[in-house]
Amino acid sequence: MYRYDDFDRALINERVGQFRDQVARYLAGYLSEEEFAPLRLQNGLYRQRHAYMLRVAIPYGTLSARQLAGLATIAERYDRGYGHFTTRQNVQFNWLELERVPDLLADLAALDMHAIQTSGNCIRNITCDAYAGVAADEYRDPRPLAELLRQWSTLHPEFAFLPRKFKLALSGAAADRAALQFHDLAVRIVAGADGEPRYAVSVGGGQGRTPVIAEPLHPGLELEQLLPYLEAILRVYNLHGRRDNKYKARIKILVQALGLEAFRAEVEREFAATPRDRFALVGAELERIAAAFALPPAVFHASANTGDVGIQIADDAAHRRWLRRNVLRHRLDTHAIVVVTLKQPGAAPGDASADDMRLLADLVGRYSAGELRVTHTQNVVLPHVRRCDLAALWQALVARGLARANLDCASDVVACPGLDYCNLANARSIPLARRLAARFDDEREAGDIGPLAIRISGCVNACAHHHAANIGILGVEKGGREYYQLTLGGAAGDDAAIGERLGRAVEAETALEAIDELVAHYRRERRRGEHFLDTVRRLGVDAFREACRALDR
Amino acid sequence: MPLIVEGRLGADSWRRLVDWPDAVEDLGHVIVPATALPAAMATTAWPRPLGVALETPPLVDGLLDWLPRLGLVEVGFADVGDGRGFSVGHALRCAGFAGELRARGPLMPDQAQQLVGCGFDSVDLPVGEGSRAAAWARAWRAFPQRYQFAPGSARLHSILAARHGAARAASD
Ligand code: SF4
Repeated sequence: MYRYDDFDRALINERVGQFRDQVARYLAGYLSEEEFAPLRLQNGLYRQRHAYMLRVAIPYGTLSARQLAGLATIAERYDRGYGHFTTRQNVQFNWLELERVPDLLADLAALDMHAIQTSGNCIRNITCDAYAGVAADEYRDPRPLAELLRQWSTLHPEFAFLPRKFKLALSGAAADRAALQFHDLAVRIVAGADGEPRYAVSVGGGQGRTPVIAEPLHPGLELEQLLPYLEAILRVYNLHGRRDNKYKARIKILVQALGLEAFRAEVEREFAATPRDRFALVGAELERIAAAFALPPAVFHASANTGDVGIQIADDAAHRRWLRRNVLRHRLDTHAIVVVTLKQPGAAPGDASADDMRLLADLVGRYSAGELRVTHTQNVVLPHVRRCDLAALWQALVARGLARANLDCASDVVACPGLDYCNLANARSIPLARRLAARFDDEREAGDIGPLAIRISGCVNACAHHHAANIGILGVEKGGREYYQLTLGGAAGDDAAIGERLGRAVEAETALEAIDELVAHYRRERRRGEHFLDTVRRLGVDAFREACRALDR
Repeated sequence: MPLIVEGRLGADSWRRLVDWPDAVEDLGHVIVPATALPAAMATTAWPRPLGVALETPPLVDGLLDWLPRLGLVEVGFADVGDGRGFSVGHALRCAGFAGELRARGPLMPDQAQQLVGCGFDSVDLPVGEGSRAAAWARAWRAFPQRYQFAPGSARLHSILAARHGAARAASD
């Protein structure tokens, strides 16, 4: 894992001091409300329905056991003992007092963490494939590049007041697990003809009011070209993106308005005008960073000792379900990737109590070389578990109710905070997520249904990425009451698709009935080996629409 | 109005013209609107560098060709959230502009780090803003070391350069 050096630390500490000063000046009346708003947002601080909320970055989704334990302490010291893992590899604290936020930030800085640019109209926290560095299908670990780009984007003076937010995602694997095509900008590391890495860039994806799938902009830049090219893209966006209407201000709208070819021509022109000498150190810097992301020595040490692989596997159906569902292939045969879904019945998706965090930190220290990941589906990953430790780990998770075998299943629901917390919400997300988790609680049934992505956003901002869900749920408000609009057929990976609307918006009860009917139709009609999405694609959304009576009543 | 130069309240040695005069007489250092720049540039007898005020970005056609004859470029910022001017300033520095780069508009002290990082030297603020001069002075000096390379600024140090410079020195 990357550890801050003195330069990184000095910068983060200076930012904490600056924010402390900004809060003090705001409270003393030297900064107006209008001026303070962008400043606090650029540091991840929102004013929510009941209190201030701070969004903390987990850059490229990687955390150490020590950092997770530190987050548990922060949750207790400043919040009500909870953290909420979001869909963009961030963690949010929901019950904060403004006056204490600077101290919280200082505690975070001591953990090599920050909240810089987790909100605001700037380059946001950069997300990555959650299995980066361990996935069996990976060509290059994208995290060194992600850290390079984290530094490049941190307090970038030119891009702090963009027309709107700007989200970047990276992957270096064959399969897209980072929802690349739904980001403003995505970089995929691919092999060039000469075997050297190239950087394929796509642009203009997004969700929200106008969901759009990204367009390919460049098939393969060289490393030396990458940063000036990204700056060129951002400069074109900063200069030409719309600022008169916040719903039309994202880069996707600019790309659509200009057309991809004209947009590319603008970028190429800026790219040609950017002096390259400033980027001369990028190669050396990437090498320096990459050294920190080598597999932990403990993992290599373990791989020499393969004798005990598999001997402890308990003869237990629940354990076997968990192995099948939540344990994935590691690039080393001796190890496995374990996903802990933070979707226990009764909990809000992505919520973790301080005790859960501490327990996980302890398990991560014992079983995963001190490292864990958070995913954009609000789960956590132990990336380096020795196969011979799987049974012991499972037992420890079972004891805390964290061993649910439901990865990517109907009960692995992704939900935004919704009306329970968020100012912008039309409807609550969490109660519906809980009911779905309860409805599909039977692991055997959920396993039989198989992969089914259900996502709930409390408003059109689509923080839960419902457009990219197999079954999407969007909260809307009519006459002061909560309704839910269903969509069908969305997908987030290489086969990215935007879900189609299904009938009218309905009350929660009816939405649940409709989902039951959709699932039942799939189970009746599926062919051998077909997942839910495959059947939807083969039969078409209309066939499912007809099967779904609840929406007509 | 109040002018912050290199972080301090300063006097303005430039005069603002609303148009380019027909008769050429030496008026001292003057800033002309962008619309008057072609006429000004056509006046080859003009004895000193000119200043130009860009109301709203993007850049004016032909501006880059005239840069060597300009002593000051002023970039207008429409409001506190409109960051186009940062890109304009940055682009001018990348194009080799070595004169005074000035921002003008309702900016706040906390934007000094962006101004400095994009190569600005001064900022012309709305009336009354002088009361926050101390905050401007502090903010102007913030983040002396950054991850980015500032175009045309000797005062800011890039962390990358320091990091790899130190590594090189150690290996020598
Ligand atoms: S989708 Fe809407 S309700 Fe949900 S968190 Fe985002 S802004 Fe809030």
